[in-house]
Amino acid sequence: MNLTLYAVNAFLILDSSGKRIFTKYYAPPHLKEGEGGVFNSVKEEKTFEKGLFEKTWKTQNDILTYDGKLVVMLTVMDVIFYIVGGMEENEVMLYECLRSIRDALELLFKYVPDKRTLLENYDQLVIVVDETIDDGVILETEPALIAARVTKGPVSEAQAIVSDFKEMGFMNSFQKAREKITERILKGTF
Amino acid sequence: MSYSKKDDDGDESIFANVNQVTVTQDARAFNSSSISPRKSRRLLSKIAYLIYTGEHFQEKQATELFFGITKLFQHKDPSLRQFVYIIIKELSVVAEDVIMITSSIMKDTATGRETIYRPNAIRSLIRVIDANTVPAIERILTTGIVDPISAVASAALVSAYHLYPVAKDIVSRWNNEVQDAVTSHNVGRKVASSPFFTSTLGYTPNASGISQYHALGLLYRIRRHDSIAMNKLLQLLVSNLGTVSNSHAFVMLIRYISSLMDQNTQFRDQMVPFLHGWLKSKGDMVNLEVARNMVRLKNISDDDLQPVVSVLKIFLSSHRSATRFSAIRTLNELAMTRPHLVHSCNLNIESLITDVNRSIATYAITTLLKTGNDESVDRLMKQIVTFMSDISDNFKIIVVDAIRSLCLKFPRKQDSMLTFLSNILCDEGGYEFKRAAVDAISDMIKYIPESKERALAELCEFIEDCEYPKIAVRILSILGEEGPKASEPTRFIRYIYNRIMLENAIVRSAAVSALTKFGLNAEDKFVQRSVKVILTRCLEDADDEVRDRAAFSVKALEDRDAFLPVVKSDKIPSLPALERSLVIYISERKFGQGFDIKSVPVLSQEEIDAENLRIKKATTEVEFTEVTPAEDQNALASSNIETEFLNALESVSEFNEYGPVLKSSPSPIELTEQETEFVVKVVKHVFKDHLVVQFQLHNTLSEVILENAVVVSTPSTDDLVEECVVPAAIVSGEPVSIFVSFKFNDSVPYPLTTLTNTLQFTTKEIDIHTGEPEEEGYEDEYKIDDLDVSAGDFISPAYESNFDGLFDSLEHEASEVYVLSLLDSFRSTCSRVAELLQMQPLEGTENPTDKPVHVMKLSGKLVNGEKVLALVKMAHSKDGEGITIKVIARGESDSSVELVVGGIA
Repeated sequence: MNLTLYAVNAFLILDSSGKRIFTKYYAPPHLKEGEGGVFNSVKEEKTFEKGLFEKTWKTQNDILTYDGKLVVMLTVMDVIFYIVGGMEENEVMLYECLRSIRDALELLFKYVPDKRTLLENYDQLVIVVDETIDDGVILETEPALIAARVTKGPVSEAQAIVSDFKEMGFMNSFQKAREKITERILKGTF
Repeated sequence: MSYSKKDDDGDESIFANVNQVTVTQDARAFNSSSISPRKSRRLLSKIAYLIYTGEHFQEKQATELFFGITKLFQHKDPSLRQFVYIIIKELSVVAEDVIMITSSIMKDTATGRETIYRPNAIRSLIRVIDANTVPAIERILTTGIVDPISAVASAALVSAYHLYPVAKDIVSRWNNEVQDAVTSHNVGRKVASSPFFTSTLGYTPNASGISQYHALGLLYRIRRHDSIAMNKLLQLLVSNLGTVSNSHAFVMLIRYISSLMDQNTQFRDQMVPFLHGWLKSKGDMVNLEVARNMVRLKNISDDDLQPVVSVLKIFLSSHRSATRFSAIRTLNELAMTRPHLVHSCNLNIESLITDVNRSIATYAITTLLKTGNDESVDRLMKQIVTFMSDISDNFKIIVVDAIRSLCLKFPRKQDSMLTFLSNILCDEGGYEFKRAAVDAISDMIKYIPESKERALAELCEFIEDCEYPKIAVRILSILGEEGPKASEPTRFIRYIYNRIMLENAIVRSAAVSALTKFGLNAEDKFVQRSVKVILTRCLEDADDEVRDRAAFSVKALEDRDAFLPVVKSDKIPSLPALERSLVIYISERKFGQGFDIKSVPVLSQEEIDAENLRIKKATTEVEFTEVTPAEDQNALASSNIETEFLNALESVSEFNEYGPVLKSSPSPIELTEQETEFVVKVVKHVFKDHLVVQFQLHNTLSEVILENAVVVSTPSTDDLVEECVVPAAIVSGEPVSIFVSFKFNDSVPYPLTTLTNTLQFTTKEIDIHTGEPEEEGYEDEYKIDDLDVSAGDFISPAYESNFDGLFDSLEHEASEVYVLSLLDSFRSTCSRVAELLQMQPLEGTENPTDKPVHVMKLSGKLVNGEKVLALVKMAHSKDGEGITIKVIARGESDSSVELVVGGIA
């Protein structure tokens, strides 16, 4: 029985050939040297991933035990999402955590998160995972709440320059004014 | 590199040229006076990509990047700031001097700021500080823990959770704030406003309340060593059920309650109704957590488990595979301890045999194997036969291994299982699959004597058309071992002869060896002569190995009387003991004397088989999805523990004069709870005239060390006399051994007693700053559980192939009747008695049927070498409480049978 909050051992995204897109193996911070890791080296991690991929790609084995661990899986287009937990972890808890990451990404991208979309928005992917799992502890499982905490990078220098000013209020006012002007144009009430 | 659309043709183009060298060079842009948030965030994405695909930055590079990134604090763009915090978290694991950034981060954690990155700052802060800096951030965390904003509260609570191992004293002071976070309806119940809600979602969702889960976990961590406080907290939370509303928090609540229920009967009786209530509400996650925890409680009645089984039965047909998986896995576990309760689910479980998720299907099969009886096994076999052609080889192997364990459990069903295994050997399938089937048949031959004739015949048919030489070799080896003992050995010689005529050199060599065994072991002169003729012909074989083996064999047959004592010996050295003796011989470098193989304990083949059977049956109770790794792990773990204790024992020179160890406890016995400050396990070693009790002490506290630790061990009778104690000089970190040696009182052949044990030691605290123990310590003692020295300590399980014959021939007998009021089934009685006496159940009699009376046959060997047998007859007590048993023991002496009969008391 796991009496700690450290429910998640790893979160993985592999592409359709088993290649890494995002892999994070969790261990509690502030442990002594060499303690707590799931695997001792990247080589061991990749061996695990390879075997796991062979067992799950193009199958309906979306929950299984593998190599002494409990694994839940979601296939989305050309990528696979995995969460790895301890053998005794609550299966539904892990599955809901995995689903919340997938759903948060869909809310953000307004499209299924395929490989190309994930790589083009890698920064947002990183933030989604960070807002969902903190070194093995599940932080949030409500997709909308996760997505709301994800900032998008500035799309132009102009927007960045504006943010140099201390006055965020100015930015808000400008945005509101633009919205109202647009609204009036559409209504033809100028 | 440009980011125009033209470069998007390949999926990999975005990060194609990213590596550590390029990002390190590009990172110098961070030092620029005009920071571009857009470019900086892009660059941070590249660093993240490298980190999250396995590139590990070295310390120097990580430090350089880390401090380059800290320049980005000059820019206030929120999206850049948030991402900076994430990369800082990742790099802080490797980089040096990260504590220097603390003050910059602390500014962003200030209250009153509703910035999106405040939770990120809090979570990053505890990554860059060390234990000495915790007081400086205490106010930040205590304020955050009770913050109304969900993300802030969770960030602070989880950060405190991570800090606890290095700052126990400080975090424990926050007990009141953490309890507020659990019980308050304000903490973590607000969602910060976000443009995402207005521009994308269209509404502002409610908080999930998940900070309650983090708060409860932290509160448990703070209070878990105070069982009274823990008890009060759980009572409070349960009696005010509106308090706990988050599903994740409920899961932890259930776990904490369950961990206390086995220790406290009154608390358990109080909690069962609540657990029953939570089985029907609050969603799958909570229901399944209740089910699993209740199934694992030791002292819970069948009646209290009925609602659990009902709920799990419903979940077996859930549309969600995670739910089905959890339900079948829990039922599988329950089937090991109370198969009669799972029986009512069997129809639902059978429908899962064809589940699209193979893990679920596998669990379904293994569960049915555990809950089946003689009648249902036949139906199960028919179903398995039906879908066998539809599944992959990997899954077929799992099924065959399941059948293999089924054979050991239901020896009377050998005919239908043998038919099944023979049929699949004729089907299509790969090497591994065929080998698994042959292994299963091999086990039947070894452990189910009645199946031998037919099983050997089936294997003979198979090798007539076997395409895998290695399997043919294996089968020939089996024929060589078992064929000569069969009723008509000559039947098998023809098949072996055909292999010599038709197969390749490897198979021919194996055939020659098998044939030799027939020649040596058969009593029939005609058989001996026939074998010799065939082998003589092999002297002209084209292959060297075949000719060499044939030459040896012909010579052996010509001088049969000289060879028989060597090849027919039943005595085999214990391999672990042999290995240990050889290692000692080599390390002591006493090469002047020859190695004395006679000093190595020997086992008969029957004893080896009994041990292997016990291991095989134990592994059938392990989760089935990865059979081979599980077996390896079990064997490895078991031998590691045994070696660890024995190595410690051998290092004590005082015990050398006691002679060889006659028996050690099969596994360590725990004399303390697992989560206490001092964890004590014990192994008992029996010598000819001595008992050595080995206490393994593990000091789980990092802030103290123990010195001169001893155990004061007091026998309750005069049968044991304490001789000496070997203390542990220092106990810190790694477990160490303490030995107490007792001499047997001469008047008693088997000293049975109870040892009362107290740990005594000098405690010294570790100075927090220097890491050294203080000069002055104080004497202390710690009570641990009593330890019984009982009959099982002097008996080892021993396989016996002819129980009835030996039982009749042994001259000494004793019998006794007992009522075991705490046991309620024949199955639990069988395992309890076999464990108490440390004797081997035989002929499948440890698996009761549905009859009103059951008889179990047990066989054992005393530490003095005497054989002893027992018949255990059992029936349900007339007053309806417990099981009545009659034990009839036969042995080579009165003391041996009295030991066995008295061992139940």
